[in-house]
Order: sequence, then structure tokens, then C-alpha cells
Amino acid sequence: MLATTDRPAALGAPGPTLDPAPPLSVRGLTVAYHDRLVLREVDFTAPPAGLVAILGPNGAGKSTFLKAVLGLVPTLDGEVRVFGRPLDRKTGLVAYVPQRSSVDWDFPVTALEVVAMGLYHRIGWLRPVRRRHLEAARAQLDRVGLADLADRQIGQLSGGQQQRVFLARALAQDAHIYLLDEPLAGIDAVSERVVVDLLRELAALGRTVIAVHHDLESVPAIFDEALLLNVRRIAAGPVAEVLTPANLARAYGAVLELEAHRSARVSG
Amino acid sequence: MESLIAALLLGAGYNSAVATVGATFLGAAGGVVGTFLLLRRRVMLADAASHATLPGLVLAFLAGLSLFGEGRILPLLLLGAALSAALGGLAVHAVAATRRIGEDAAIASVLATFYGAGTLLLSYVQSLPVGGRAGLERFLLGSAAGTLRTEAELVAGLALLFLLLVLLLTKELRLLCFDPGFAEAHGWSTARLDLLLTGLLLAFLVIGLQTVGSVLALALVVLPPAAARLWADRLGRMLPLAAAIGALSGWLGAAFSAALQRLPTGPAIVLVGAVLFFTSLLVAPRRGVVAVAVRRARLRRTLGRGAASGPLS
Repeated sequence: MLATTDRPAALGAPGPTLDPAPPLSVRGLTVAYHDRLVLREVDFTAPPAGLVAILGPNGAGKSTFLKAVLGLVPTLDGEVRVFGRPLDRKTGLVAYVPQRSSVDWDFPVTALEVVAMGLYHRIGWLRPVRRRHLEAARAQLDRVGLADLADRQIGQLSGGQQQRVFLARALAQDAHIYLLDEPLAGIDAVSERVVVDLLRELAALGRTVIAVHHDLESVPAIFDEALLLNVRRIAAGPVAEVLTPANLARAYGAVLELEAHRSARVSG
Repeated sequence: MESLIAALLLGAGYNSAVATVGATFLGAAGGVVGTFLLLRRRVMLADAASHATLPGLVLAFLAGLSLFGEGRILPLLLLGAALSAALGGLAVHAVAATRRIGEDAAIASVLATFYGAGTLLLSYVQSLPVGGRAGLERFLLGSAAGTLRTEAELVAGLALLFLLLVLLLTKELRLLCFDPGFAEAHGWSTARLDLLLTGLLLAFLVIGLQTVGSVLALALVVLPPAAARLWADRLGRMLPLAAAIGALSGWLGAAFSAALQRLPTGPAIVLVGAVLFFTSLLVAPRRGVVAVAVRRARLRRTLGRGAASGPLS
């Protein structure tokens, strides 16, 4: 059937061995909100596996980059390819973890029900969420150490726990590419440990994990590669090559490297 | 009193019984669709759409009058109301999409425009020397008891069908309301889901037009879910509770209206819903006003007088 040949060959068992195209490649991505350019001609190729940080000052277009890759914001120009093909969001190949502040945490839903949302695209239209789906969701909640809080209304969880619930929802999806918007912003030390360990685990399993990140100091310890943005692409590649004083000065303006650190963290 | 008990127990004649059952289903349907509108923060859209039914309703009446010599033709009136409400909904979207003013202002402008036009048309109809215009007024306040048997059966059937449809869509609507960004990123079109929700709302307003009236149908969308939210912390409980509160409002309101002949059905149903809502607001555990005040007082006591003298929240 045509529909199946259209799909990426890597869909069943995603991995570089089956498909030589990179998991994510972006060419000339340009985005504007009204009359303000947010991203300008950004090129980026994600590694077949590993943990990539998206860095840059406020307003550099970091979140917009993720949203543009997913097609959530209209682009003026540019091309996004996932395993060499335009992204079909319904395949579940790409998991998205939005910023925690993007949802209403007073919403009447439990932690377990949120995690189960990661399975909705597989359940399909009009079909109900069944017990086996909830069991699968519970297993993911257990991975982030929150099995005990499964039936809590999400507003009763701490910020870090909420972030772990979001991560568990993405894990339930079993994607190949994970796009996370500030997964470590404003969360407690325990939650940060859990999230970082799981992201490292995903990278070790051959997944590509791309996260918007604010704290420049912790980048080398957590991430393999980085994309440094300030509307334009400043630098991309292995962390050590990206985080040079010259690149940081270009990204954060004419401030010293140390001040760049500080302002980036304060504004987070 | 006897007639009220008879009406409550569906013993006041077949027509009254069907009307009461219809109002009960209608209340449940309103509670269910309203739950999602409340969680999607689109209740004001319901407000605009319900007021926007008015000009279409009156124009349909005038069209019927000039084409068939009879204004009160139910299918025509429902069609007019539906088209007019849809136009109102589209107008809200269009005005809000310019992003020059906020969505609340867009909704209020459209609401005022349509309701003003509707009232103008209505006063024109009332100046006409024709009969049947009293029938038109009934669509504003609603009348369960006065409807024909077939009409009442239709309302009951449609409301039940509607209820099932919304329940079937629970998963999709939950996702839309909680995290539209995530939904969109995983292949669900939020624009289409929003359109679906708006469509469900319009369908409900049209089904409810006869029983509770165009403007008051809104109350069945707002009050039951607002009351249910105070008692329930998860959608799986909020939905049946909103349906139950809506059903109770419909049942009691229709029975009151049937027993006390002069009482219009719409306001009766709405007032029962309002009593249930305000009672919930006061006495609901955890989220109710009393519960919060008690917790606050307890906190003040634990902290001791000195520490609690500042503002607490």
C-alpha cells in the first residue's frame, strides 16, 4: 500500500542501522512572530543518538526551535526532516515535553491519567483508555519513581514531580526523538537526578534527546552536544567545541563569559 | 403540592412525563458538554453562541411567515437559530484571530451585536398584527409542558444521543482541554477538536431551545459543571457528577413548571441549577468556601496569634 511505503523505514525499529538519514535535520529554518524574526536560517543536524542541549539567551528562539520542528508554529522558510522525511506527527516518532508552565495544573486529572496520554495516539480516535493502557502508564510512572502518587490530582504534586510525570508521558510514547522544553527548570535535586538519569538512559538506548536548557555550568556534565542559538545559529556540535568564550560572547552579546552564566541562570 | 409530586413521579400525564424526561436528559447533556467547555475555558463562547441564536430565530419566524403564512415552524426555527449561533461563533473566531483585541472583548462585542439585533427584530415582530408571536416568546423562556408530544420525544431522544456522543469523545476532549500543545505535537488537530466542541455546543443549544429557551440553555452548560468541579478532582468523577446535577436540575425544574402552570420551564430549571451550584460553592469539601475558611482558621490557630496576624492566603 502507498501509505506504508510513505512511512519512514525506521518506524518499526528506529535506528541508524536501518536508515542512514539523520533522525532530525533542519535546513534554513526561519520563523517570525508577527513582524519580529525569532529564528533566522538555522541549520542543525541531530546525532543518531545522544543528548543535545539547546542554549542561548532569553528570546534566542530556543522554545520556538522545538515548536517549529514539530510544526506547532508557522515557519517562513526552511525544511525539517525526520529520518529524511517530512514529519508525520501521528506516527509518535517524536515525543514532545512542553514547558511545565504551559498547562493548568489545577486540571481535574490524575498523574496516571496524564501519563496515559502518551498512549492516546496509539489507542486512536474514539476508542477508550483500557486497563492495559493504564498498566503500561503505571510502569512508566514507576520509572520516574512516582508509582505511589499515581492517583493524585496533578496539582498536588511538586514542580519536580510534575516534570517527572511529563517525562513519564513521553516515555510511554516510546519515541525515537525526544524534544523537551526546559525539563530541568525550577525542579528539586531529587527530580533533577531522576530526569537526568532517564535522559542519559534514553541516549544510551540509541535515542536522540534534545532539551532546551538554561544552566550553562551543568551542560558539560549532562549533555553530549549543544546547539547555541541567538536567533541565528551561533554554533553546534560537541559541547566542548560549542561552549568557547568566543561563541558565548557572540550568543550573549558583549558580556563576559562569567556574566553570561549568571544572567542566563537568573533569567531562568 | 400533590400536583408537584405527581409531576416529579411522571404521573401528571404522558405529555408532561415526556417533557420532564426530556429536560432530565437535556440537563445531563448540558452538564457533560459544559464540563469540557469549562475546562477549555470556553464558557464565554457558549454565552455568545446562545445569545446569537436570537436574530436567527426571529428571522426564521419572519421567513416562515412570509413563505408559508405561519411563523412557528419548528425545523425552520431550529435551523435559523443554529445558523445564527454558528455565525456568532465564527464571528468570535474571526475577531479574536485579528489579535487586535482580547478574546473576552471579541466575545462580548459579538454577543452584544447579535443580541441587540435579535431584540430589534423581536420588537418588530411584536408590532406585526399576526398571531403565533406568543409562540416565539416561548423560545426565549422555554416551555417543556406546552410542547407537542412528538417534539418532546424528539428532544429526549436527541439529548440522549448527544450525551452518548460526548462520552465517546471523552479521551480526545480531555487531551484538548489539558494540554493542547502536546495534543497538537502528536498529530491531534486542536483546531478540529475545538471546532468539534463548538459544534457540540451549538447542537446542544438547538436541542435545548424549546425546553429551556435559547439564552437560558447556557445556564445548563455552566452551572452543573461549575458545581461538579467543586466536588470532584478528576474528570472521571466530574463528568458523571455534572451530568447528574444537570439531570436533577432538568427533572426538578420541569416538574415544578408542570405543577405550577404559570412558571416557565427555562427559568425554573436554571434556578434549580443555581441553587445546586451555590450550595456546592458553600459546602463542598476541600474546595468549598466553608472548608477553606475552616482550614484557614485551623492554620491560624496552629501558627499562634502573633505569626498569623499578617495576611494569610
